[in-house]
Amino acid sequence: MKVYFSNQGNLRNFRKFAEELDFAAPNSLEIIINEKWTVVHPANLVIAAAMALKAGKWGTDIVGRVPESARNLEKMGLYDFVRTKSPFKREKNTREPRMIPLTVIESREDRLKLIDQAVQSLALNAREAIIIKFILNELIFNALNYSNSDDGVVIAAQYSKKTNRVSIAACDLGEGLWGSLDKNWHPRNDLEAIHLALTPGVTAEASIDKFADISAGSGLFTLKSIARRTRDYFVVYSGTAQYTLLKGDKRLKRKLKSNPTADAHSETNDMQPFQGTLVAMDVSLDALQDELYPEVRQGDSRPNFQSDEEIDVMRAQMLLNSCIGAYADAMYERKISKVKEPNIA
Amino acid sequence: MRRAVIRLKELGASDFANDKELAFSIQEQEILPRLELESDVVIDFTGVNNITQSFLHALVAMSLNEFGEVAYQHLCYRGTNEGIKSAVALLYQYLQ
Repeated sequence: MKVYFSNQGNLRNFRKFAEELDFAAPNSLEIIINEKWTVVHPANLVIAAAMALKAGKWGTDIVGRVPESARNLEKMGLYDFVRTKSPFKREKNTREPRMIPLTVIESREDRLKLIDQAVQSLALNAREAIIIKFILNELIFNALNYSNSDDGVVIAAQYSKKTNRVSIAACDLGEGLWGSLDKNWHPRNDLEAIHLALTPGVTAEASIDKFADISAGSGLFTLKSIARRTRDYFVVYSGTAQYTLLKGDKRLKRKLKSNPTADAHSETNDMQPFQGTLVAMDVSLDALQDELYPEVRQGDSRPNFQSDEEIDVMRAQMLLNSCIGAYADAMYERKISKVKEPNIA
Repeated sequence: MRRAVIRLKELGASDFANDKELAFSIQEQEILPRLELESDVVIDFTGVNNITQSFLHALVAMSLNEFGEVAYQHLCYRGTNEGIKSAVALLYQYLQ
């Protein structure tokens, strides 16, 4: 297998990165890095780490010259997954980077521990913490419970000061979205499986006629909705299909849509077949602030009977609720569409 | 009238309640058996500031689906802030 880290490793270019993946010969993995300069998104890292788990540490090498900008790969823990020794010395007396390095989550306990530590690892304030913890929880829960992966799920997140953005990605090597949805929903192909997974009310646990008792089928829809509200990229790659939510027109109102194909997006069902599922997204903290405090921009005052922190957590809950509201509307529409009309001659 | 208070915080929910498995086990062990007896069940959110949709769904959806009118009549919520109140209202909206 082969992975190439270019100098354009962001979600906008994820498709190009994925097109260059080579899944042949799964017992060995070569990671090749652009010799002059590299930029790597957590999405690229988690997929490389997941492939390294499959090939085994002693079958995985970083080959060729490694640029200084690849120091980030060391900080993110990639060298723990490979046989190649890191060329970078640990820097002393530097500020702790705001990141969750590559971590393999295999149990509910691992998940809860990582989420508890996320606030500190990413140095988040109260409102940011709620949204980021929500995203991590949904990503990991889905992968652990529905992917049938033997190796758990690989997760990574990183804060970028330059863009004031947190980038998050999770990848498993399970049966893919098509595999987990086939029993109840029978998608025709991998792309249709992605569409279904992003549709409110669709869960691997239940068919269209029944609500699941434990799962609402709102997780991935809510993640996509958060990305839509904050105008950030959101990517799903599973099987031969890949879906990218685009930023969309800044001038248009960001109404949440239940049909993922109605959002500005790019998609293809012609990728290298990837045995597993990757979900990645960016969260712009500036946009999050704007979403949570729209009236501050309009010059209104905030209510003064609560502390700033109380207002923060309530606002974050309301942002999540706005996504649930779109979910509830979609459920209502689905019920209406199932009402049978009388046959009147 | 029998009345049980389910204090989520005491049962392990964090201030940001997001653990679906915990929610479902609370429903199975604490809520469903009491609804079976048609007892009033008060779900107390005191100490919980935020919840995820999935937590709430795993906490009460099965009760509302299986016990229908009995659950709607006997389940009540307290210690909820505005955000949680609104999330519960949305859950009721899509489950009915």
